[in-house]
Amino acid sequence: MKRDPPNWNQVVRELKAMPPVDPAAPERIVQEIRGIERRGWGATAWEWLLRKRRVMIAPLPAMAGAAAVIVVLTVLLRGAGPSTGEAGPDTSSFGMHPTQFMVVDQEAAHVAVVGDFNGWDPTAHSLEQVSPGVWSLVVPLEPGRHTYAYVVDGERWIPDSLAARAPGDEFGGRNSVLLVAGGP
Amino acid sequence: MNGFKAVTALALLLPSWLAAQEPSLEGRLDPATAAAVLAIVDSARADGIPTRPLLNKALEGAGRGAHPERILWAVRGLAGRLETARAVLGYQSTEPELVAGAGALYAGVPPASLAELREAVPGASVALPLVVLADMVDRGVPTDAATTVLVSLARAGVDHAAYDALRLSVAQDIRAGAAPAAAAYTRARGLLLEAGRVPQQRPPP
Repeated sequence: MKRDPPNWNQVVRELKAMPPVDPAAPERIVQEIRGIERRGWGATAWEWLLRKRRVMIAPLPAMAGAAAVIVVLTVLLRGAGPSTGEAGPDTSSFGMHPTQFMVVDQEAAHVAVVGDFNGWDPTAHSLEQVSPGVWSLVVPLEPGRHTYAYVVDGERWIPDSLAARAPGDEFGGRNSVLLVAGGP
Repeated sequence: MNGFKAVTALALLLPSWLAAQEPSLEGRLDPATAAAVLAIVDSARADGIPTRPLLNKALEGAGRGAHPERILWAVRGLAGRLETARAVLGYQSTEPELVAGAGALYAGVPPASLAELREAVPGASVALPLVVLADMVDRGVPTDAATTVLVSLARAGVDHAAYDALRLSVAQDIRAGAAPAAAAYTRARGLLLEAGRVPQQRPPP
């Protein structure tokens, strides 16, 4: 059976023609928008989050993303690890450990602690006078071996008389050493 | 995909950034001294030696107002001792162990003593025993006596509190006038008895 060839001009006209619009549609759209405003952006955002959608992920960036999340979480959780504050290696999981420094000096007007944890900077960690002549400060320290000294009144460097001595008086003064638990 | 590219870059760069957290010499040393220190640090890094202790030694010198030549001398000396400590204690040693070993060497402890201590506890950290060893030698205990005592305690597997108790009691005895070697032997024997590692001497029948 032979068919007539299609009238292409008519086909194009029909495809280009706008579909019929429901006269009530504009009103429905306005009602919908008002409904969204009434629900608020929180509800709308929640709906957006719950809406199913197709996501395409390439394996390499996805694995890299997961690795980044793990690294960031590890760094953040370092500050939340258990701490003992006592000297001695390998006794707790790694993390920053609150470590108390204390000096008794009745004559001092200002006491600071300097060490490898603050770049030996006398302005970094000043001790507080907790009672007359008693100076104290808690400093979060990484696990490991730390060398330190006290600086009294900005000029007199003294070791901690109760701590282990740190060999190394190349600069003409003595230091102390402490080991913070949890180190490698 | 730009977000994924950023995350990928973060994942690749963050570990190296974390590893690169070293103290800065900027503003603490004059440019020439800082450059000389960094040259020593770069050389140490190439040899796989920890660099943070070297930078901290330079910063300590700066904080104490030491002469630049003195600072360079101290940093070079520490680099050499860290290298010796690593050679003796082993390439798997941790930074605290190496720094403690370098400190013991500075105090006059011979490298053979470090090796002896490492052999006594092959699977455990020797950072604390080395700190106590250096402390005792610094207080006048002869190196052979201090080594014997620390190796005995390490072999006995005493806990960390025992090392600290030994350090404190020996220091106290020496301040009170005891002979350093006698103080070390006596206190160590007491700790070993307490730990049940030395048989009680029975009086003759």
